[in-house]
Amino acid sequence: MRTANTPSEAPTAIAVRAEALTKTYGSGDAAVRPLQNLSIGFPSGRFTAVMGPSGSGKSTLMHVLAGLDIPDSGEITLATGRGPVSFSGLNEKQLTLLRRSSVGFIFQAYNLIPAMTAEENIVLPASLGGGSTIDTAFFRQVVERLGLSERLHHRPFELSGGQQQRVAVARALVSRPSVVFADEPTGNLDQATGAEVLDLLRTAVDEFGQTVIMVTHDAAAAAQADSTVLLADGRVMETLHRPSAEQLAAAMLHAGSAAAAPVTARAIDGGMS
Amino acid sequence: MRGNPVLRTNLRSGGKRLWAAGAAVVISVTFVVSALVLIGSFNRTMEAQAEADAAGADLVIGTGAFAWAEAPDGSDDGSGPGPDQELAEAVSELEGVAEAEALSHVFLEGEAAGMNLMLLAGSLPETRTIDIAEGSMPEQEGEILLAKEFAEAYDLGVGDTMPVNTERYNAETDTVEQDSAELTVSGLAGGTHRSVSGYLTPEGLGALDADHSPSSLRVALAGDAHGDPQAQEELQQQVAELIASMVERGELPADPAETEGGAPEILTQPDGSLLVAGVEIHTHQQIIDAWIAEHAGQSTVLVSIGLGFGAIAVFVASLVISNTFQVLVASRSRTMALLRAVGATAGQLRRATVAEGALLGLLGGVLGVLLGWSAASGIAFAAQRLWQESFASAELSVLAIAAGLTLGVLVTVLAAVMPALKAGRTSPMEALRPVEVASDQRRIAWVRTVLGILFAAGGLGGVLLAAVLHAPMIGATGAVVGFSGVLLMGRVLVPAVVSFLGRLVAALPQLRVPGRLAAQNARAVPRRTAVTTSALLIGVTLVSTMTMGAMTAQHSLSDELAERNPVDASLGTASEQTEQVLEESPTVVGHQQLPGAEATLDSEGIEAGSVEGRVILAEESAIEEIARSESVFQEEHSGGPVALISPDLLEAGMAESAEVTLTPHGTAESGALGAAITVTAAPASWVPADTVVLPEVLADTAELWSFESSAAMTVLRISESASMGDLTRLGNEVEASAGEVSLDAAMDRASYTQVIDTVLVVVLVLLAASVLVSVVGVSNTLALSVFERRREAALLRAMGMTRGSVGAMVTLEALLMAAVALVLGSGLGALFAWGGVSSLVARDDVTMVLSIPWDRMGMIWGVTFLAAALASFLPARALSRTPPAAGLSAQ
Repeated sequence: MRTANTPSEAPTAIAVRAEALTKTYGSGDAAVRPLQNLSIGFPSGRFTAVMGPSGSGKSTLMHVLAGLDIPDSGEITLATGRGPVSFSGLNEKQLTLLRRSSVGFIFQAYNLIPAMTAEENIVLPASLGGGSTIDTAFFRQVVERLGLSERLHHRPFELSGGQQQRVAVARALVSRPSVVFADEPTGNLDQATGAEVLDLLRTAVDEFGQTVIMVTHDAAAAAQADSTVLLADGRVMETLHRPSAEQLAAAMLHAGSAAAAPVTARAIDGGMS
Repeated sequence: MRGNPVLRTNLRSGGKRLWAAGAAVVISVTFVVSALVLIGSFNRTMEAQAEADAAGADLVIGTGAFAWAEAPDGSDDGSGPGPDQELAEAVSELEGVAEAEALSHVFLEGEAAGMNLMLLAGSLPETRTIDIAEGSMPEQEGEILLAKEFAEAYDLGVGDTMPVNTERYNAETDTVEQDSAELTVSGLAGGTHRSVSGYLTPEGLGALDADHSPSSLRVALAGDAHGDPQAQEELQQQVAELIASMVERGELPADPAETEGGAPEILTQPDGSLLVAGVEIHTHQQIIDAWIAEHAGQSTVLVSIGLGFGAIAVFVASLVISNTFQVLVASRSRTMALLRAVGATAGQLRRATVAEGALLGLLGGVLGVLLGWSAASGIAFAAQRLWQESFASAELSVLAIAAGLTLGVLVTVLAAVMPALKAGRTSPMEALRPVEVASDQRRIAWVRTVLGILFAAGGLGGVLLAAVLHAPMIGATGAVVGFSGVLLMGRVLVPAVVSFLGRLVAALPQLRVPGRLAAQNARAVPRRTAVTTSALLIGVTLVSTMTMGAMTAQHSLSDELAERNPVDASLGTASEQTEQVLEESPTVVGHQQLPGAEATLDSEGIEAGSVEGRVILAEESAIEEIARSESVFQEEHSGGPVALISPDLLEAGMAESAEVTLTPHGTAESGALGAAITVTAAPASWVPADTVVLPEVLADTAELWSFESSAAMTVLRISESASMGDLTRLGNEVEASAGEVSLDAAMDRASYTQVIDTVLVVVLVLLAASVLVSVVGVSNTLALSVFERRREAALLRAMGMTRGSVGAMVTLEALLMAAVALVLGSGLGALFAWGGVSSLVARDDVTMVLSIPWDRMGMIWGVTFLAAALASFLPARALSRTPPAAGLSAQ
């Protein structure tokens, strides 16, 4: 079991760290174990991709890291603006507030609120806080960089798929979360738009120093990341640094053949979503 | 069902969602069925009452006509047997007659429990068995058996005595002679007694010095013929012939006009009874029928009230059911499309939806019939306990079952037709289409809106017009048309207002996002928001119209009463002891002593010409504090100030006013004559006996009089919320120390208030069904909107919205819809209440001012908000429990 934290990247701080995570769904014969004593650390200010065959536990890992789901055992620590926060011992409400302040999301389906304008969608996490304000200068900067200045007052159905995804990216960035999780962000887009979104994530890391963790099936997408974590059977198989798409495809093939019960796992994966 | 796989799929996939529509069906069917069953009970109660009264008699001959007739020989010394007794004797000699007894009754007046008591007492009929509930039959003179219901109303029990006054008309002197007697209650009779309320022995009745009016002649047949309809009819004919011949022979009195051609004609009336010389002869069954026909009016009113409110409940239910089906169809569109794609025809989908409605309607109908029956049984039971012991138990009739089931099925099927058509139009392509962000349509239905505005403007204008013209029919029509207009405009108006309110709420920092989202959601599904709110609006409008209307009517009545009787109550004397009682009584708001002086009252208007009484000086400041209007001493016609005099001093027929000279006791030397004042005095019910109340302005020679507190009286201002009970209690408390107590004006007001309040309570209870249905509708709408917004909720949760805020979003939506229904409903209710009362009170000189019972309206608002919040509880909980991870991936 290797970690992402190899000597070549040594001085980098860890944005989110997981220790010995275990998660089991069901019991007996029907039991599925998407996470099996998994430990990993994601470096801060980097773009990390998580890949793995269906049922390898990548979705569960992301849910658990983002505080959306709670592991059966194990420890997660998130480096926030106010120092590292351990998830264990946090109740549901505290986790919610932690998500609001320190975690950003980019979803496969754009998941904008149809009733709100682009601008309202972007500032949504901040406005949930009631009193908390947004950094207007940073908001302008992000909006400008994402080319949304002209679209701020449009409603989601008046935007193209690419524009909607850019709104979603802007929403994830403006609150300057500790980590942005992207779940198959290119899954619903054509190739050109997909490439554009990956470019935006790259920009977020390079220009805004954002930590981004992306779960993807797509080797080409993962090739844009600084490093790629390969999962299989709820464990980390390998961590690759700046791999080419070909390397990744090969690694995936290897991981796929190693996967224990893809069919069952798929069913559970579907059931969860 | 096996034949329709689509229906099977539907029931399996969305069966649970049908509960709200089902509940709406059940509630409205329950209401209608219980109304029908209760009306049946009411009718049977009437029948039983008539039956009880006619029990034991084969023929009942109305002898009331003899009361006013001169004896045929012209001699009426009142001692010999009356014509009814002579007839009884003749009838009893007919073949087969076991007994014929002439019943008469007397009119008695008395007092019990502080109330004036009026009582018709009759002789104990031998042909009727009377069920003794308590005590025993009257055996001696001075004993009376009272109907139990009557005795309870006057708080009389076995062994109690009651003083009664009697009147007898003396034909020789052409005067009415008054007398009094004391009767002891020997027992209480159960059952129904509709002709008289008390029974004395024939001797006891005869001993009362009062006019005895013949009432009826009860005839019983002997042996097997007793109770045989055919024998009754034969005897009826014989008796009619007997009466005809007796009239012809001059043995019975009759209107000369009828006997002109010798024997009077025997007429057969439509109900089969015979009429001869003004005397009606009914058989047992005919008397029952006649009585029921006489009271059929009550039953008709009950039927129309019951069915009127039933119709409202059914209409609200159909809105809710139709809404449920619309959304069911929408939520199933993917399944439907899939079915279409694999080969289901549009007709199959349509039929399945209609069949689903029919099935639901049938089940709801069955449950509603059972619940309605149970409810009616409960109410009938309560009525037996609390109101009328003889109230008939609820019996489920074929009519009630048929009406309930038909209604359930019909309403549900009709409500399902529109959604069914929509289901049929589902395109198979929808199954293949990915989930997209739906655009919200801002299409305005122009026809609907314009029609709505026209209806609303015309109808509400009609209400205003009706208020000015005092035309209730125009008002009622206007209200219905105007309200329909508002409902039509609802789809444009309601979502806009809900969304506006949502934005207002969003100004609060804690509710910024939930407020906005709730507001936006109202706009996103305008139809559903509008229909849900409409259902609620109907209930709120009706309830607030009734509440404010009652208050407005009550106030205008109260003003009217204040004008007529400015002083609520008075006591004949004043003392410290009384004052203390008044000070402590919560019923009394204010009290003032008015000093008095012994005086001689002389007037042509006074029966005796001169009376030793007293004069009370009414100081302006004291009267101002007590009186409800400024016209205490204003006589209606003269305009100038007048004195007030006790009404019993004035001669009958001199009611308007009289010139009275008031002279203080004393001698010429003491200046008594010089102090005499002559004033115009008008009667006022609150002035104690032998008293004149003199306003300060008329007391020119006041300095010569010595008004003292020893001859003072007390005037009272009574709390407006005082009930009859409070007043009776007050009367009892002060009676010992205050002498004469007059609570007339306060009693009047309390009794009006009581009547209006009772009617209001009944109406509100009847409206409860439709309000309940509309609340179910709110819950239903929210449940479905929750279903549609699971993804949105998951997203919000992932982004850090707390569970509480997600739930608040749903609750807020319910509260916003309730708020719109309340604002619109209260506004319309105020207009309808004002217009209704104004158009009903046909007086131009009274400007009707709307009175708003703030406490009751506040309660209506509170209860509606509470109900909306409760209705949103389960949906809000369901949505707030959405796992945040559910929003992360598509589908």
